Amino acid sequence: MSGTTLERPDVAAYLAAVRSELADLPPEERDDLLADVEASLLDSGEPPRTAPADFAAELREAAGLGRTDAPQAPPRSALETVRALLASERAAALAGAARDLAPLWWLARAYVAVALVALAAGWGWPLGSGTHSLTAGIGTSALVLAAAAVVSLWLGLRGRRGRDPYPRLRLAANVALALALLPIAAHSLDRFPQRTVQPEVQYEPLPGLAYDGVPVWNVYPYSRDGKLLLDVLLYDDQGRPLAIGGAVSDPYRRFLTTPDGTPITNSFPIRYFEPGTERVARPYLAPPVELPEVATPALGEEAPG
Amino acid sequence: MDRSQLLRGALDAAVLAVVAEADGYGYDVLRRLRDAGLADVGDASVYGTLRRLYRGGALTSYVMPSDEGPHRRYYGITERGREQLADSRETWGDFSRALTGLLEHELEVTA
Repeated sequence: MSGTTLERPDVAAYLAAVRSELADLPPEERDDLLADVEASLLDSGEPPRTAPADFAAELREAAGLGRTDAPQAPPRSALETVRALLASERAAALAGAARDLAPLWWLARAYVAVALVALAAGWGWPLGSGTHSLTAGIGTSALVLAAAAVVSLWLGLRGRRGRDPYPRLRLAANVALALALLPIAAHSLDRFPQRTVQPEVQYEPLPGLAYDGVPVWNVYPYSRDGKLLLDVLLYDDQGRPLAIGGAVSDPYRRFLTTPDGTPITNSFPIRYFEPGTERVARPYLAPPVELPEVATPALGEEAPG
Repeated sequence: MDRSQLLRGALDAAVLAVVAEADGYGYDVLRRLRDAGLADVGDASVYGTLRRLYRGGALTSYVMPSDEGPHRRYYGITERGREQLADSRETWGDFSRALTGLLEHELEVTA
């Protein structure tokens, strides 16, 4: 006898009951298993006399699929879930990586701790920022940081060896420092560029005259007809004397002086006495220059016009 | 003696022996086992055993269309299945000889 399960509702019901007993199997496995059973049940002409649950159990056992219908564990509490997660292999791998990277955290927490204390005490961070010179502040900060790093590394190694008498206190401190890490980092990123970069870019003006940033030690004025002029006094556009070497400590320099003996420091070219004398040996000495031929009429001589 | 307990340990060999004789589908194998004298073999045990032997590579399978109902999955023995069957024959032979000897000796003593 054969047919289909549509024609044999008793077989269909029996198969449905067996299927539900095998609901925990992978769908493909279950379908393959029941396809054999369906054809065979239809061939046999009647459902087995065995109860569907017993039939399913026998089928499962003979097929070597085992029972997976163990009662479900009661829902775990959040704490149990966390414990289960911590006990997982992935958590163990993460813990191993964290252990390897712990020294980096020990250094970071030293920085955070020092910065927190400095800010809480009103010293500013870097230390002394706003009240002392920047160089001194950064230098002091570096020293304190180095000391704190040593202490932090020592505490970390001590805790790792299980010699920490207050493990909970250590955990709480680590959590607090971890929470402060981001604000401190943001503060530091905000402060250090202002305090460290700006002074570096300040240019101190060179004393005396300069041309394209290079000091000018002497000036040689010429007339338009190519004669070197002597004892010319130069001033800038604001009437300030263009002085070079205002100090009068150079005993060999020939300064023009006012009637009261005050040296005039903006006279050019600067000349020097021969050692032990008050005589300039070569007053017209000048570096070689290529004087241009001047075609423009001299002022006051232009054609009217 | 509970025959079903005995059969449970020997069902693999019995199924392999039937299929080695000729390919067959589930109900066909069951019927031939029962015809061979294993009347109390369970349906589910046979169907499950066929699937397990197939997964283990002792049997191969193919589907044959049927005019009378759903397609039938036929099982045939593989080389691995034949080796397993030969091994089972040897094991069963040793076991049955030993047990027969024991039981016949006991019979002679009691007689």
